[in-house]
Amino acid sequence: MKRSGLYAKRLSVVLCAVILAALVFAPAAAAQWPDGKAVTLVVPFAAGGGTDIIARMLVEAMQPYVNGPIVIKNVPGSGSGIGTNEVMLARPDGYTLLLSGTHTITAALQGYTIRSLDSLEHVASLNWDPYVIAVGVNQPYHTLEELIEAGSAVTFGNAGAGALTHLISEALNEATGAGWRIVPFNGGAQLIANVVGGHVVAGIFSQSEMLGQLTTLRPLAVTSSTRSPLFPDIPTLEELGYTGIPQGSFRSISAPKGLAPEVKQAIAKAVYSGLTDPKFRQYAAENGLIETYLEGPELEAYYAELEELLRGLLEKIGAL
Amino acid sequence: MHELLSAVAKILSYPTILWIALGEVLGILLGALPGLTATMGMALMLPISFYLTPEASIGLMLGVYFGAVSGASIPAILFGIPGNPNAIATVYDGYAMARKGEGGVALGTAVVASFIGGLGSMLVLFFAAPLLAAASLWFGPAEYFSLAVASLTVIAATSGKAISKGILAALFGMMLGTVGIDSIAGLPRFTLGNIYLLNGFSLVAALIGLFGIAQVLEDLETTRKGGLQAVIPKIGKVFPSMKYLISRARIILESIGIGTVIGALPGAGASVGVVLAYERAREISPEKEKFGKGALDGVLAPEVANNACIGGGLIPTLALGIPGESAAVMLMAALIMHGIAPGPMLFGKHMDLVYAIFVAMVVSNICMLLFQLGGVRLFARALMIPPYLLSTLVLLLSIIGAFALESSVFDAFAAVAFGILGWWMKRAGYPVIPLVLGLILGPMLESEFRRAVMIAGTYTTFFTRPLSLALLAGGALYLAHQIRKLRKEAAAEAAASGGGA
Repeated sequence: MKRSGLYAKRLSVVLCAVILAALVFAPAAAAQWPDGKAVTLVVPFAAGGGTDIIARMLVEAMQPYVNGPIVIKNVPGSGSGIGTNEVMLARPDGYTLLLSGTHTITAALQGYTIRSLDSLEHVASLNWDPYVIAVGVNQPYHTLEELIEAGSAVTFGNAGAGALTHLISEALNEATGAGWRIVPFNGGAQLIANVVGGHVVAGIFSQSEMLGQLTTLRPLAVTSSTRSPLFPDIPTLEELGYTGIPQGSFRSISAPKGLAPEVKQAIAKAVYSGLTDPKFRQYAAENGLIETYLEGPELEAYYAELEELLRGLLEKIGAL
Repeated sequence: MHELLSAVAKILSYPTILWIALGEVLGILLGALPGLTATMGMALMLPISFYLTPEASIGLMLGVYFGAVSGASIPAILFGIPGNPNAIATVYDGYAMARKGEGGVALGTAVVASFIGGLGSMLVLFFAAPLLAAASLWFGPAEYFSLAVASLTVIAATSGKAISKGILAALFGMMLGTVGIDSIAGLPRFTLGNIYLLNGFSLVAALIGLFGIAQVLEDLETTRKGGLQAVIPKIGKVFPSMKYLISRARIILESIGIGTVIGALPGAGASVGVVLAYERAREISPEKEKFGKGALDGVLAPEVANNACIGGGLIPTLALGIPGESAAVMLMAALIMHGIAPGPMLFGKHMDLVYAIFVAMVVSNICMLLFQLGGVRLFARALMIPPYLLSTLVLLLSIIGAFALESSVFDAFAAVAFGILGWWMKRAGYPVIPLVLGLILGPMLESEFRRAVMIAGTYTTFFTRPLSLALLAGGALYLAHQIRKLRKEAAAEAAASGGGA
């Protein structure tokens, strides 16, 4: 009797301690992101594409730093518009994120999303993925200057009407005054077939596409402002004196507007840890991705700048 | 030779062969469920494949791919719904056979045909990949335009006696194909401000509606008139005899040829290949009058062709680094993840891997044959379900399938609308397949036309490029031949009925 009373007393003391501890740690737990719940990263493209593979590698690298699974959800369609919508309409609790970037800006500007870009909050940026300008190996052009001089004799292919590669082609055509005939194709694969087959003279390719075609395509320039580690001998457009051209495909992580500041910070920290993880860095280097980490007001300002540039280009090609 | 043997050893080693088998089972299941595709299964397996050896990851991917393409024939035969676009031509005679109680042998023939098609195209890939890949580069925008025109002509011209209705259906399909973002100017057309229409109508939703839901509506009508009876299937014999296969050697070889060539042309797609193979078989089959009413040859030809398309599709993927369709993109992604860039250098630098791919193709085909053999009797039992239950089940699966592809409620509604359209078309005597191919080929035809003119700066480019001219002439000759044949038949019929009266 006495014994059991003692136990009861001890138990109540222990319980008190537990509850006290719980109270003390409660605010910290609430601010913790994520608390074991699954985080969905919406990739607004089909699985297997360039952006999807980067997302998968990043999630792989981030996972050890995050308390809870990160799940990739591919929502393709409408030039990334459908997936972006899903995130724009989700709750801003940090459990629905978007793999955003230049594609998000072009989709929103062209009206492929229900809401405007303002309904997103940009958490952290990842990298630039520059494009390569190349001709078929049988073409007589060995430098960009020669291609520019050839003028309207040149047909210049890109991976899709209204897509970033189209905007860059038009911007380059304008900056150089070359007067090439720009031909939009239906995706990178079709573009490669047409340049390699000699049906068009030149085109703009992703670096991974270029790596597979080293014997059939001749690279003339890369679009980034610094040289790509994959093609150290190929000059950049900036070196050649052409500016005002998007550097390539920019990628970042965004969320619906209205994130709690501490959640936003926690996500940014996790992204940073993944991005700088040696395994991801190795992958990025092997694939020519140029690490560009920005967060907070700096990133928002960068986005505003990009939006202005892309809006101008879209207006120029008549897509707005 | 040494490389080939070491590839065999690598593929047949313990974990690798298990991954192939696993991929195969998954593929068959995905293929059999309308709305779930090979691409989807391969995307799911992509992160897993990252942890496997390159050989095992290729084996896993190929397993899913072959499994899904052959699995798609199961619902096509049993319920009249193609599991994915590769099986559209199997519906005609496969479903007719199932309704006659011969579903077992139709399923068995489809399995054996898939096996033959897969192996046949593997042999073509093995011996002629670099050659065929080089030839596929002759196709520029002008040639693709002419190919699309020729394909549509062949398909519309073989719509039986109703050529005009076939052409009308194809044109209507092309019209539906204009919905969405225009691929040259990048501007939305006929989307009514709906963002879900920016990509145009989903092909899978259209297939599910036009075949699955339309069939349910038709059954409903028949039942109301008291006509629909459950068929008691004779599952007894499921395999075609060796004698039958040997007697159809010509159909098999031509189907392998058509499948491989169409598969090797990026963008043309397996659904075009199977319809062309079906139409060709109708021409040369000894039982041509049974076509459309349950001819075994009508199952054999498209099922040989769709698996042959896989091998064909791998030709530009591996030899040029140019994937012809979405499933090939996945295969390429799996290779790229392992640091191997498919392309012109693959055949020189990574010959061991190329051999491993060939061996994995053979092994995954054998796995497919074994699993399907085991399953055929089981699947055929689905036919014993009473019609009222079966129709409900098919309707349910159709709507879920249309939704599942892109988790899109819009697609589910689109499938229902296509269902009503398909039901009405069948009543009014319009063939459905030309509509589907119009939907697929229409956008290709339009954008390639505009591209070709942009590049050449003149409209004569279609006639001055030899390959383009040959394709156009071929289509025109075929149409003329078909019309003459129909006229002759009509004259003979008129003479016969005249003589009778």
